[in-house]
Order: sequence, then C-alpha cells, then structure tokens
Amino acid sequence: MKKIGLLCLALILALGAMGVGYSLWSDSLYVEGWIETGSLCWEWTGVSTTDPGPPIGAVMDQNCRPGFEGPPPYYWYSGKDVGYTNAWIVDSHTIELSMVNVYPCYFVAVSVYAHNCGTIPLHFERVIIRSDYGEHIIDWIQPDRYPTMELDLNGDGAPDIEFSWGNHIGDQYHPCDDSGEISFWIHVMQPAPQGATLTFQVILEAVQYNESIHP
Amino acid sequence: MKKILLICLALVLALGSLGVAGALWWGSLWIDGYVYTGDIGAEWSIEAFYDNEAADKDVSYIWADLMYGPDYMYIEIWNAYPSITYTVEWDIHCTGSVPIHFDSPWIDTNLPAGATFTFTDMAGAVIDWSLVQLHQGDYLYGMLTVHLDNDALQNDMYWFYIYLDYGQYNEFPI
Repeated sequence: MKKIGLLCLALILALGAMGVGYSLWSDSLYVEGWIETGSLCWEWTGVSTTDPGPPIGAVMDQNCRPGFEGPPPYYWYSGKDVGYTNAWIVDSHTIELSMVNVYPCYFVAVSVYAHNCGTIPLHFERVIIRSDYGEHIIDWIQPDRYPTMELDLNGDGAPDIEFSWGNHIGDQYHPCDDSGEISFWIHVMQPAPQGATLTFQVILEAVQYNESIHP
Repeated sequence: MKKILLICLALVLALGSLGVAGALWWGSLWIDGYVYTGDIGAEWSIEAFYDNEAADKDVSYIWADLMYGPDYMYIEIWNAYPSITYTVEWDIHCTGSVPIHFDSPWIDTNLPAGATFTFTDMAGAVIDWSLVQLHQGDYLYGMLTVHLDNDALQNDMYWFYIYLDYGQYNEFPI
C-alpha cells in the first residue's frame, strides 16, 4: 500500500514537471500548400505516305539511289505500280506503317503530324529507329536532311532498308500547338529478302522543354 | 453564587489584559505588486510570389495568400512540373513584446522524396533558424522555394504543410 502511494506521488510530480515544461510561451506560424501538377502529352493527329494503296494503280511506285544520293531528283516515278505503303493511326501514340509487295530500290516518303495535348511546352527530343537487330538514335539538330541510316530487319547482318530523317528535332511545341509536317524517307535495299514480312519501329520522343538537351 | 462571581471576575480580568495587548504601539510595512505580462507573437506578410519560367513559356503559376489569418500562409501551385522553382517572398514581423526564437521548420508533404522546400534569406542563403531572434517590431525577410523533382507524377495533386514554431527567447527551442 505504501509502495502504491509512493508511485502515485512520483506520477503526480512527473506530470507536474511536464506541465511546467509545456507552459513556456510558444506558438507557430503555418504554411499550407497545394500543388497541382500538369502533364506532358503529345499525340498523333495525322499520317500520309507518297504511295498509298490498294487499289494498285492509285499512285506509281517511286525509286531512288542507294543512300538517297543526288543529283536531284532524289526519287522518281518508276512507271510501275505494284507496291504500296499504307499508314494509319492505331491509337493516339502509335502509327502503323505497312509496306506491301515492295522490292529493292522502292522509295516512299512518310509524313506524320503531332499535337501537344498536354499542359506544358515540350521539345521534340529525339527519334529512335529500330528493329530487333539494330537501332539508330537521332538526337541532334541540323538544318538539312539527316544522314542515311541503314537497318537490318531480319538478322542476316545486311541492311534491308535505309532511312533519311527529315526535320523538326529540337522543335518546341506549346500546349495545343501542332507540329506541322514531320517527314522521313524509306528506301528498300538490295539484301531485303523476298516474300518476307519485316517489322521496324520509329519512336519520336518528347520531353518537357526545361529538361531538353536542346537549348 | 460565589462561583458565578469568580467566573465574572476572571472574564473581566481576561478582557482587560486583551485591552492592554491591543494598546501597545505597532505598525506594518506594505508591498503592493502588479505584474503586467508580455506576449509573444509573429505574423507573416507576403511580399511576392512567382516562378522561374521564361516569359514565353508561362504555363504554370503560383498564388499565395494569408486567407486564414496572418499566422497562416496558404499557397497554391497550378500546372506544376519538374525543375521549375516556385518562390514566395515573405517577411515575418514580431508583434509580441517578448523576443522570440525559432525552431527549424517541420515539413509534412505527400510529394515524392526529391521535392525540396527551402527557406532562404533574400540573398539566397539558407536560413539558420537557430540564429534568428526577433524583438518587437523586428522584421525577417526571406523566401520559401518549392522545387519538384522528376518523380512527381503528371496530373496529380500534392499537398504540404510547414510548421514554424517559435517561443520566448529564453526558453525556446526546448
């Protein structure tokens, strides 16, 4: 009984001491903040090719020299219409390109159009052209057409198609801005196998303007 | 009867002795005391708020106000994105009569770890709150900067609360 009494006394003294501790004068200043983040978004709005089809007969096939070399014209109508290239928007971020019955020296130009659907400005940062057997990254700005880039599509070590990227890398698009025409050329090369189905991807990457590698 | 007379006599003598005691010379010294306590107090003022976006890319913005009173700064940031610095220029003025000391700000937020909240002086040097003492009428000018890291998600809503505790100079911080 005596012990319990001592404990109670100690408790009362401890609580009393805490009371003294809390009783010093203090107050607080407050800051409350809410942050609503924006979004970076760009999406396809259109695509076209210089050789749509079928039906065959719509547009003549075009040919070009290896490496898209000159002198001009860099490509010309071949007088035949057996191959064609269709393109369509699969979803807001994907365009599918289908090159049908094409053959060495076949040339096609593809034009795509994008749109800033986000709330902050973006920079068109780089292009990645790749297959299962190789990849090219274009992330620099130059005033004229980009160097030719060859791509092996079937793993035999020989290039099957080559690209020439056109323009717009490093461009800045504000919210709701349209890109205008972004274009690239494709040339089917001599090692391309007959009767094959070959795939590749072209990826256009954008970043928020203030973290772009392009000033 | 005789007993009653004796009691009356004793009573008279007792009262008489009391009269003698009351009649001796005596006096008192007095101290009257009044304690007027002081008070502590501090208030925000907002001088300016802005971000560091370029003029031709002004898509995000910040707003700050003392909508809940002078001790409560309220900030909203809209269309925020990483690597932009949002700034509120403020001053704290001491409204109490007792000097105050500050504790380090305590920050609570749901922002990802890379976000920063920094109190600096007007020259941009981080404030060492342990060195700040404000007397009545003193002002401390400074800036609060908010910076989002790349971990911040798009189209999301984040909050933060900052508690800046202060107390009487001679006992605070505890």
